[in-house]
Order: sequence, then structure tokens, then C-alpha cells
Amino acid sequence: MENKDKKNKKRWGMVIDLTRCVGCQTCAVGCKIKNNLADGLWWNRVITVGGNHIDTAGGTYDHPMRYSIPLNCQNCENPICVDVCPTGASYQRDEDNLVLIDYDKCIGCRACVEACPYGVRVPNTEEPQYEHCNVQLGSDDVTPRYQGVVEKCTFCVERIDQGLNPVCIDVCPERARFFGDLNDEDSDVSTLIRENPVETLHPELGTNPSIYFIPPSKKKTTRTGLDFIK
Amino acid sequence: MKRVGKRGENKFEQISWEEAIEILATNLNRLREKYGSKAVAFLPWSGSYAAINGGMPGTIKRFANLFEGSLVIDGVDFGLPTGMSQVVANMAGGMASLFLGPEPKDLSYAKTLIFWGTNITDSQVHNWHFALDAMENGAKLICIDPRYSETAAKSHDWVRIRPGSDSVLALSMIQVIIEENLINRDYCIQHTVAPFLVRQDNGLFLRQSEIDGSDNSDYLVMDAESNEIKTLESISNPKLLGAFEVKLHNGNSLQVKTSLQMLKEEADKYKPSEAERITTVPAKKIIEIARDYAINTPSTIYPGFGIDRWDNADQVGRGIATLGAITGQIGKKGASPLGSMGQSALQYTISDKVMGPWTSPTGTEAELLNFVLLQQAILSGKVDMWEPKDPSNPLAGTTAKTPVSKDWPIKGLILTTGNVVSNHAEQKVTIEDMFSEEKLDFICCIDMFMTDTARQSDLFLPCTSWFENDDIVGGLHPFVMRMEKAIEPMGESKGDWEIFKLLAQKMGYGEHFQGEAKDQIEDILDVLGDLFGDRKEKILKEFKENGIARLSDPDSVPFADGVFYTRTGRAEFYSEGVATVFPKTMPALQLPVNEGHNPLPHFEPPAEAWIDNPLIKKYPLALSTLHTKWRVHTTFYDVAALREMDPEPVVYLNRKESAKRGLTDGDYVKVFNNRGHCVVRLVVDDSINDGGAAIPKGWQRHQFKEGGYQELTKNHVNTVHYGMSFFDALVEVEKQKI
Repeated sequence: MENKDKKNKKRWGMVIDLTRCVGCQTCAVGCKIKNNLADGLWWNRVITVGGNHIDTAGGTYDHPMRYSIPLNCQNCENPICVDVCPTGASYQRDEDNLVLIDYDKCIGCRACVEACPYGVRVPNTEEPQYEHCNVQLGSDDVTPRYQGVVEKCTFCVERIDQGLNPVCIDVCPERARFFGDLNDEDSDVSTLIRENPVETLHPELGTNPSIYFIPPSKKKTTRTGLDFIK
Repeated sequence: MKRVGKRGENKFEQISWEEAIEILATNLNRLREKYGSKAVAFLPWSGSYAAINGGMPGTIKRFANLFEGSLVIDGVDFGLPTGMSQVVANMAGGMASLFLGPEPKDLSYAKTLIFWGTNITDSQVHNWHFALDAMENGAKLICIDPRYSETAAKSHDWVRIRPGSDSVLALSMIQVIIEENLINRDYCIQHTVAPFLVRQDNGLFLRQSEIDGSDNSDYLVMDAESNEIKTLESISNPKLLGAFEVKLHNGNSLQVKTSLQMLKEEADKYKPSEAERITTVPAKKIIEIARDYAINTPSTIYPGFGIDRWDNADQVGRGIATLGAITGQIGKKGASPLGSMGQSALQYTISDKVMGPWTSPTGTEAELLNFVLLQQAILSGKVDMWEPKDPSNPLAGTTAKTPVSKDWPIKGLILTTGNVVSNHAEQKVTIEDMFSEEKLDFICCIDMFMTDTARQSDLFLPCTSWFENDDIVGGLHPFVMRMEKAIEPMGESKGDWEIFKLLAQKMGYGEHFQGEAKDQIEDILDVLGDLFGDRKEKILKEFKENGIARLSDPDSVPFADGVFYTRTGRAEFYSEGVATVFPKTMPALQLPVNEGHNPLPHFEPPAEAWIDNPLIKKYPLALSTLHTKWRVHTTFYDVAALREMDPEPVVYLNRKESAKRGLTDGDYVKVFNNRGHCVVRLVVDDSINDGGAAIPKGWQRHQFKEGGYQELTKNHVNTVHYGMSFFDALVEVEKQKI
């Protein structure tokens, strides 16, 4: 019974192909603009795995290495952030288990910020500022946030509900990000997961993230980078 | 905005448009009366590719032509393409040879893809996914770069090379390919000058007339069957290598060699072991990539501007195009040494065929002044230019063996879509001398932002952005696009069309500026469509429906027929004349090889950043001013969201070079040479080569703790390619207390 119920439900997920991602930050900036993120806040960051700074190499002079990982809410099936939320502000939507925040219920205690193993939740410690243009750009459909609440990637919930992709998917110039229903075995994401040696972040925690990564060399050999997150 | 303080002091007061146009018109009239109209230079650049309100070619060109001033063009992106043009097309135009490459999507057909001096994951993001498609189809990606860039990280093979030595690598690959007989023999015979015999007394091709005294000027080859000299048309199996004695009709004997033999002898100077010494690329690696390129085909070389910003860049371009010619890796899908900007709509939207009548409504024209020569013109009132022997026949060569000094005073400067003070080499000279009140009577800058250039102007006119005008634009891809007005102009800003229209009305050219900018679009499209014959209707329909239309046929590949736009109609890795790009003629003015110009791709040391230059003891680091993803030249220097990720100017040094200087990551350091300095934060990154330093470009001076990166670069005037050699610069780095 439970299984059948699970099958009928959608489970939104992403596949991010790190062989294709070049760290161009288009998804990060696209997200920032579309979701009206205030100065200093990012729901989606592209992290350089390599040196100590963005776009620098690790390894050695003769054998350097670097690659990029886009990092946004992993939309876990078993989200720790929801478990630790004292007010029920962080919740999973019934119809598709999407992890969302009810800003009216959020008291800004930041328990979720500490608990999230992926470091993707950002608090509004101050009144949001918008230096870029002194105006909020982006979509009117996005629920505004204010001082005191925690925010994070929503998988562009209002776009999903209109049958659109999250904006990070559509703006990616290298076709490195894919989105779809993990419960639909014919979806792009399910196919990619079947056909590639995909990995998730911190599988040992049992969160069961819905974002899958195709590793940079398409080989499950080095987990250095994927383990590096937080 | 009108300057009220000293020039460059950044004190302005707001004035009305009426007053601004009055000031501009008064100054233009005054300068014309005092010095002649040519003393006013109009300078459009690449800040916007829009045909009308941008700089490609833009309303500014229409006004400059009516005013009969000087129009400053070219000068950047010229070194490498000029060398490539030398082999495939005798064309005067910097990017001409890049326009003759395949279009971006054709990258996906390649089996070997060499990215040479380019980091396209950052600088041409829109083309990279085609490379990824090639990779997923099994292609081998090779990246040649001193720096471990993102493109290098993504490629299968990364070749770290000493900056400025790329033509040695190209010649060494040519050496391997000839030595191992990996040339495409049929292609060499049919479509290159390989079999042509070269006279050893004067470097020119041997012609039939010289043998039999007839007036037949056919080129001659050595028949491998009969061992006799014949015309190529009369035989099927010419010798590609060898030296021979021939008897001329006047009875004299002389030695000739095949062109390929000449190339081989030049390339033999750089056998892999010798090339390793110069380039630091292991000999084994040179052989490996040469074999990959010639065997694992189709193969494409995607050269970039990292190898263009050098005094010797033309020879790199020549070498790279030669690789394509001798292996026949050109003119097929997935096979070209000319990069991936071909079939571009831009070449049509800036062409005289399309924009000529529009930019020159009365037929009068501004004189073209090369950007690299602008400094000379302003500082000395003279420029050194080649003088054609016969202006109607550029192939006839020049009047002298060196350029001739010519009066060309510039006293006024009108700038749009460009930020010259930030982007011209030798920034201290630019600011302190070129833009001084003593040298330039009047400077008007039209821009969206208070750039370094705007700060140096007397009159600063705020213009609209790409989103505030209706316009038409062709990019470095085959599509022409409508630029649709998304918002009304912010504040009191105006588009270039409107600004020059007001000025024209004031100065008596009003009749040539009727209507609005968008009224021009249909006329331009109509002429544009005419260039594409049968496709015209489809293009106009697509454009009307979608605001975007594909111009060229998706299946067309330049040089598919093996006919090149050269004197011989063949790929000329050996040439009788070296094409120079300025003054601008079509075909290009040629510097004859029998007057000492080099007929072959060869290596010349860089002008400054080279191991043998004594200056390297004082300034041991070769500085490259990188094009990163954060800015396009200086555009986007002030975007808040980007500045959160990339907040301030930095210099990259590797661990070894940092340790040598006692520097640690995060220190503020002074980067300096005898031309100037800047103070920036240090990022320690082993991506950078030993003996190298890199500063991402595009910052404005006020964003530095001190100085500016462009103070460090030098304006070498190369009198063949006339390209600015930004990377050909030496610097030293030391700790700075803040």
C-alpha cells in the first residue's frame, strides 16, 4: 500500500553532470536574480573543488586538478532540517515531498542551518539589501523573505507547479543540469541515473538526497570532491 | 555631464542635452576649422555589437563618414588571424580568417580537438557544449596553455607551454608530420602550394615563362615519373620534396626547391628535442599531439586570443593554418585550424555590402586609422604606415622597405561602445600623455557607466543599454537577431542613434538622420537577405516570426571546394608576399618576399616577454591579463552579484614563485615594471606556470588599491599584423604594505 502510494507520488530530482559543468556560475546567478536573493545570499553556489579559491587548482604543479560542483538544496527524502525544526516551518509538501519553508512559521532559530549537512540554508540576519539596482529583480511569484527567516532553494516550486523547470536547469549553457520525476522511470533523470555511475552527497547519513551527480571523470574513483562538501 | 575640474579629476556637473549637443557641435566645428576634419577621431568598439546603436558598425560610423573625420578601427585581435589569413586568404581584416572557420556546431564532428591558447569554458561559454558533444562522441580533447585553465581541466590532455613559444610548437608538429609522412599527399597536391617550385635566387615561384620565354605564367612542379619540370595541370604525380637544378630560357641555371621542402627545412630547425628546450613541452608529447592531429581525424584546432596578444602572434597563426593545410584538415565538417567563429552573422552586419550605403549616405568617408597607431597619431601627429606602390594593385607591394611617416594629427576624440583608457596598452601613457589637455583638445565619451574613459572626458553623454533600444545584431555565430527594447531608457539616457541625430541636426547633416533607429532595421535586413540568394525569403520570414534568423546554410563549410582566397587559389604556407592589414585594402597589401619578408611560418622571439631578453633579470615574470568569466573586457565590472564572488582585482602566482618572493596567499602585492604598477591581492595557484603571472582583466582603476593592470602592458606596434600585444610584457611582484 505504502509502495503504491509512493509510486503515484512525484519525487522531483536533479542530475548534475560534472563532466559537463565548467563552473560558469550561470545557474548561481540565474537563481539569485530569479528568486530575488538579497545581497550576500545564494541558494545555489558553484564550488571549485581544487585550490583554496574559486577557479584555482589543487593537486601538484605537474598534476593539478580542479572541477566544479553546483550545490543547492538536495531535497532529501529524509531531511534532517525538517526533523530539527521546532515550529514546523520546514516541511515536506504532501504531493511530492518537496522540502519547503513556511516563512510565517520560521522563527530564525537556525537549527536547520546547523543541521543541514550540505550547508545550503541561509539565514537573513539583517534586513535584506539589494545593491544590484536597488530593486528586487526576478519573479513576482516568488514568496518574499524578510529579516529573521531562513531561506533556501525551493527547486523553483512556483515554476514546477506551472509545469516548468527550475530556472537553474534552463539557463545552464552547457546542458549539465537535468530535472524531472525520479519516480517516473522514463524521465530524463531516471534514465541518466540508470546509465551513469551517479553519486549523491553524504549517502552515509541516510538522507537520501534527490540530487544525483555524474562524477567529473564519469568514474566512481575519486570521491575527494564530493566528500569535500561541508 | 560636463567636466568642471581638471581633466581626469572626475568632477562633472549635469547639464541639459541641449547644452551637451551645443558643446559637442561647437567643438567639432572648431577642431575642423583649426586642424581639418581628419583631426577628429571617432572610435567605436565592441561594447555592443548592435548594428545601429552599437559599434558594429553603428551610427557613429555614419556620422564620422559625413563629417569626414578619422575612424579608429581594428588593432585588437589582429595578430593571430593575420597569420592565418596569410595561408588561407589574402584578406585585409583582422578577424577575417576566423570568420572563414567553421561555425560553432561543427566542433561536434571532430575526433581530435585542440584548444590552443584559449579558455573557452570561460571566454566562449556558448561554444563549449559543442566540444562536450564531440567528447561524448569519443573525441580526444587537447588543451595547449601555460595555465591549467578550466578548459585544460576538462580536456583529456593538457600541454603546458612556455608563453610566447607557440610558433615553435606548431613548427615542431609540422616537422613531425612531414618527417613521419603524415601529410595528406592528395590534398597537398591539389589544394596547397606544396609541389610548387621556389626559385632559390629570389624566393618566388618558378613559372613556365621563365623556362620557355613564353607569356605562360603557370606555376611549375617536378614530375616524379619523368623527373622533368612540368606544369601541375599536365601531370598527376609531382614531387613534394626535393631540390633541383633548372635551366632558364636565358641560359642561366638555378636551384629550385619545392614549397614543402622549404617548409620542411624551416621546420627541421625545431625537431621535437630542440622544441622541448624552447617550449618546455616534452618531445614525446609533441610527437603524440602531432600524430593525434594528423591521424585521429577529422581534427580541429580552436586557436584563441591567448596566442594572439603577442608581437609574434602572426607566426603562430601561420603555423596553425599550415598544420591544417598539409594534413588536409580543413574544409570538412569537424576539420579546420581556423577556430569556430565562422559563418558568423557579424561579418555580414558589419560588411560594406550591407552597411556601406547606410553608414555612408552621401558617399563621403572617414579615413581609417588603426587603433594601434592612435597613440602615435595623438602623441606625434604622425603615423608610420606602409605606402602601396600602386594603390590600385596591393599585390604590387610597397614603396619602401619600411613604413613611411605620414602626417596625421588627432586633436579630438569621440568615443562610444568602448573603454579605451582601460583597454589600451600602456595605461599611464594613455592617461598622462594621450588624454592630456596638451595633446587632445576635446574628448567626448558616450557610455552607460562612469568608466576610466568617461572620467578622462570633457563631455560625458549617458547612453542606453542593450535593453533600451530596438536594434539588430549579428554575433559570432550564423544568426542575426533582433534586439528588442525591453524597458524604456533609464533616466535621461539616449541611444547612439538619437544622440548623433541631435548632433547631425545641429551641424547640418539632419537630412541623413530621419526617423527612429528601429525604422532602419527593415532596410538593413532587406540588403542583408540579398546576400543569401534563395534563402532570403526564408531568412526574412524566420526573422519576422522569431526575431532571429539563420543566415548561412547549416551544411556549408568554408573551403569545402579546396579553393582558397589567395594569389594562387591554394593554401599558401609558402607565400610570395606577406599580407599586411593596414592600410586596409582588399586584397591586402603585400610585402614582397624578394625584399626580405619571410615567406614561411617561422619563429620570432616575443618583443619583450622572452627568456633571452636581458630585461627578464629585472622583471622575471611574463604577465598575462586573463579574460575570465566575470567580465567581457571591462563590461560588467560593476555588477554587484558578480562582485560577491569575485570582489577585487587579484594576481595569480604559483607556489614556487610566491615562496621565492616571500609572499603568502591573501597578501597585498605590488605588480610592477618600468611602465607602471598596480596593487592587488595575491592568489597562490599552481595553475600558473613557473615564470608566469596572471591578472584577470577588465577592472577599472578605482577598483585597485593603487594603479591599474593596464599600466603594465606595452603598445608594441607590429608593422605586419598591427595587433596589440598585451601579453608580451614582463613584470615583477613584491609585497606591499597597505
